[in-house]
Amino acid sequence: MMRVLRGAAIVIAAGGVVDPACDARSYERPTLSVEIVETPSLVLPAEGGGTRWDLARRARQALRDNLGAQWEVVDGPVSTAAARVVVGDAVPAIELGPWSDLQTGRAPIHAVTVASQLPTNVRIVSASAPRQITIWDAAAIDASIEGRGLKGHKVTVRLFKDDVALASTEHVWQSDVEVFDARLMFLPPAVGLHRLEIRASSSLAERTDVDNRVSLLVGTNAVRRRVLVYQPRLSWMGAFVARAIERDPRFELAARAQASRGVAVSAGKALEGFDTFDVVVVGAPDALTDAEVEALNRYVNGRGGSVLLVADRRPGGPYVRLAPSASFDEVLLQKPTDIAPGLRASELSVPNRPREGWEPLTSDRTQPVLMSVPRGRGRLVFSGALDAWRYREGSRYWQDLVAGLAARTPADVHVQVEPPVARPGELIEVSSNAPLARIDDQAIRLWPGGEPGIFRGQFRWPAATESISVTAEKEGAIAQTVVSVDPGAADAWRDRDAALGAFAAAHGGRIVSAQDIGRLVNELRQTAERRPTSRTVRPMHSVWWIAPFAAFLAAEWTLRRRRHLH
Amino acid sequence: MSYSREEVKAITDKILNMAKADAVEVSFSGGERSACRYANSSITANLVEHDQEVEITVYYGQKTASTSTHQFDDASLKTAINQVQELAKRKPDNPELMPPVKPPQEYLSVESALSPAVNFGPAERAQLVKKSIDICEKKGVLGAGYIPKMHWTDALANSEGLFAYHRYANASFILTCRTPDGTGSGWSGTTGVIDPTTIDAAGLTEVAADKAVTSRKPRALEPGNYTVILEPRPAARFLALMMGIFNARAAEEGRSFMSGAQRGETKLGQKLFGENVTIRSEIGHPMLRQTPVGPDGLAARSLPWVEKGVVKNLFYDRFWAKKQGKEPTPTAPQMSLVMEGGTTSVAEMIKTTKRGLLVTFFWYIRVVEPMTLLNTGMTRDGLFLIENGEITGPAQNFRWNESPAVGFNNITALGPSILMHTGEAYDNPGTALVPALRIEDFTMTSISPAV
Repeated sequence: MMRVLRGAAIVIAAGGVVDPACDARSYERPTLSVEIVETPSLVLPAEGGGTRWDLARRARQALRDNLGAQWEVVDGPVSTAAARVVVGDAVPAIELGPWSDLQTGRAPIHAVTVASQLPTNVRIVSASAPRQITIWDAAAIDASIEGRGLKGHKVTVRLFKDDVALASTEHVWQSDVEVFDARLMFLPPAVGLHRLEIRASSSLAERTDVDNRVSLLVGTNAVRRRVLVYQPRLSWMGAFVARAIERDPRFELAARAQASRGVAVSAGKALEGFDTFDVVVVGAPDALTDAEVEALNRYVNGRGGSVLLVADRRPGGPYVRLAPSASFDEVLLQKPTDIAPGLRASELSVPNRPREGWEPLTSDRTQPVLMSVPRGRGRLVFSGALDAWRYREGSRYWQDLVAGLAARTPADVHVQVEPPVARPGELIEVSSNAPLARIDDQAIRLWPGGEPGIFRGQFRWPAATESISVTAEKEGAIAQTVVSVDPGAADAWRDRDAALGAFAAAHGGRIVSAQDIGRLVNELRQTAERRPTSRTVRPMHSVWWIAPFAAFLAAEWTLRRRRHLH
Repeated sequence: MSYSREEVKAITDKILNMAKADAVEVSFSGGERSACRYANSSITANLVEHDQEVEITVYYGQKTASTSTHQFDDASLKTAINQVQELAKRKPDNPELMPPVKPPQEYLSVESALSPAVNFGPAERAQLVKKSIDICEKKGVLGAGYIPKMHWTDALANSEGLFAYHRYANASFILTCRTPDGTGSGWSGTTGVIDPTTIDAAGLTEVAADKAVTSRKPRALEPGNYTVILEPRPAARFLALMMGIFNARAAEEGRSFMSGAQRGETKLGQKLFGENVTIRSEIGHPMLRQTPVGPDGLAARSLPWVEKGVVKNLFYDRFWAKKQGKEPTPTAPQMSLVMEGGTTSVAEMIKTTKRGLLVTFFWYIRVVEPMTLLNTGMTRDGLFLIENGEITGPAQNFRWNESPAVGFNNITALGPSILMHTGEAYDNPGTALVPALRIEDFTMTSISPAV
């Protein structure tokens, strides 16, 4: 017996020295995070009584009650969640909220919408504004307004800045369910970031107007479009268009003219090639050489620039291959005719068999004196209004035409920020095709990014700043954008229901209504996978082994004493 | 009324002594300005104006102000001086202000007030009118003419001791004839004549009347590029369009046709015009007899602007010359201007022209593009088609768009230089010696309804 007891104690001691390890397997419930997306519209009445907020809470409770066996349901986003559910009527602001810290790409995100259609309601379905315009441009602010149960009543859509109405439009609903697309123009009063608000008000009182207003951000800069007026021979048409452009602050004009044999004169930015310009206006194109025509062709196709050919004589010479037709009809009119709004002429060169792709820009499509064609990445425009200079009111037309062409030309330099709406202290990523950017007045170095020719950098949102301008410059061309800290505004609002559905689909989830939450519960039940877990156990680490060890030794010692053994 | 050197000096000295400013400059001008106008074969206006004026400029450091007065009594002068002195003190500094020019300045002696012009009075002008009207009646046209006369004194004095004085007298005869039905018109004239007895009123009227008669029922031609023969009057206007390009500051600041490829560079020394183009200021030229006093009172000197097409000089005013470390140019480009002519008469030019236009007159000229010197204007008062060496008939007037930079490269014939005013009006100085020009490829852009 004593041997047994001694042996047992020795085994325990040996086990402690060896410290063996073994695997222990078990199963645990996956985590389901549920978050209610808090938006002002949750105060709206919901189907089945109460507010949307009440409905959202009921949906969250239903998830807790019905899925507790399969899921560990927690409130709010959790980084280890196996699935997520957002409850509400709008997409969560992932860039701004706690979601931004999560790896949202792995776990599916389902959505439970509490939105419902009110029987009598006007709501702004979607709205958008250009993120960045120049101070000389008018920004088109678009909004889609849905009216329900308001047939025969009027809706007024207004654009506000600092509570001052800037523009408005009205619409009378023609049917019970209708979407009205409103466009309001915004003329920026200054360079910087402008917070605009669209408000829709109905002539019939609504139960709520919380979904009748959205805020938008429009950044404004003073970057001018660069236009070259190139004249291989002096021409009045070229000079006239140049004068029209020169007067317009939207443009930075450079000019080069062959003033006489062997004598060229230049004004503005030195000409080192066409690529640094957004638009090239060619006066007297009939005097272009083969090499000049080829250079213009490369500029249009490669750079994506626009070339405006303003003829003052019957087209001829190498440039005809850039023109809309190989041959032209000469038309001399007793009285000037309207070519386009604000543009008149009486001596016309009309393409008699336009080449494929050329589209008339003229009021009278049977006499296509002005034609345009996309070519490569750029665009060619031909004007056969030979004596349009005689009718001076055409300046505005040329300004608008050149502005439109310039807007189509891809910028020689671009800069982007992500996210465009930030939160204090957040890291903002800047990408540009220029290696240097300026954050307000401070320069930051950008480094080569993943794509060839793209440079990236980061900066942290400075404290106590509402908006900052990010500028990049390359060979004199400037690009500018604005970052804002304004959680209440965006550069675009999408249809909330559609957006929520798209958001869920984009994250591998599905959208259900709160009334139909049973479907989601069933699906989550089926997809819940108890996670097998295994862990390494070292049994000898327990301090309780000391007890049997001591007991065995004590018993063995007692027996030995009774037998008078030493 | 004329002012002798002594009379003028007494006035300027009196003003200089009255003024208390750091520096003072007095510019005197005065004399007789008269004219006779006639229209529809009778005199409509006979004007004689005697005037005198001093312009007083005072300097306080870099501050300056000017005033002028026509009253030369002590009280009026004192009031004007006190006012301008107070005004100058309140003015902001002018960083480009240059101090008055210091003597000595050696002015060329130019006798510009010859007795035939000094004594050219209403009676003499009436005689010219009579001769002209007789021709008009004979030719059955209506004549409208202008015969201005200037007998004028300009002087400049300053507190540094400078005194410059120039007196001149000249007359002009300008005439437009129209057919009674208003469908034909002709122009003729001569300007800046220092001996009015040489004015051939009858001959000039014959030219204008013949042009009026023969310019009726013009033929409309296609706009396009034509060989043009510019008679001296349109040639003078065309020349005047480019005289501004010689300003060195505009050229070096990149604002001018003369600007070089880089900022600060110019086209000085480059051959910009045809071999047959030579333009110079010829101070003391016996036909022009214009002032020898240059800008700010510097002694003007003859100098070439363009020689055989090559730009020889640019004009540096005193401020820009100092800034650029150069000598100021004592002669302004428009002073005593001579464009070297040739030996080909207008008749010979016509004979050797296969197809072209004879241009009598340019009007309503406006700048389109200063950098390229592109200008636009219209023809008037006699435009004729030349075919195979002969005038074949009147042509409907044109609007033209052309640059003298192009035109002065395309000159194929020059006539003898004659006196002709380069400005739009005829009253003030501005007469130059200009030849008739034949220019190829002159751009006529559209029909003009003018007569």
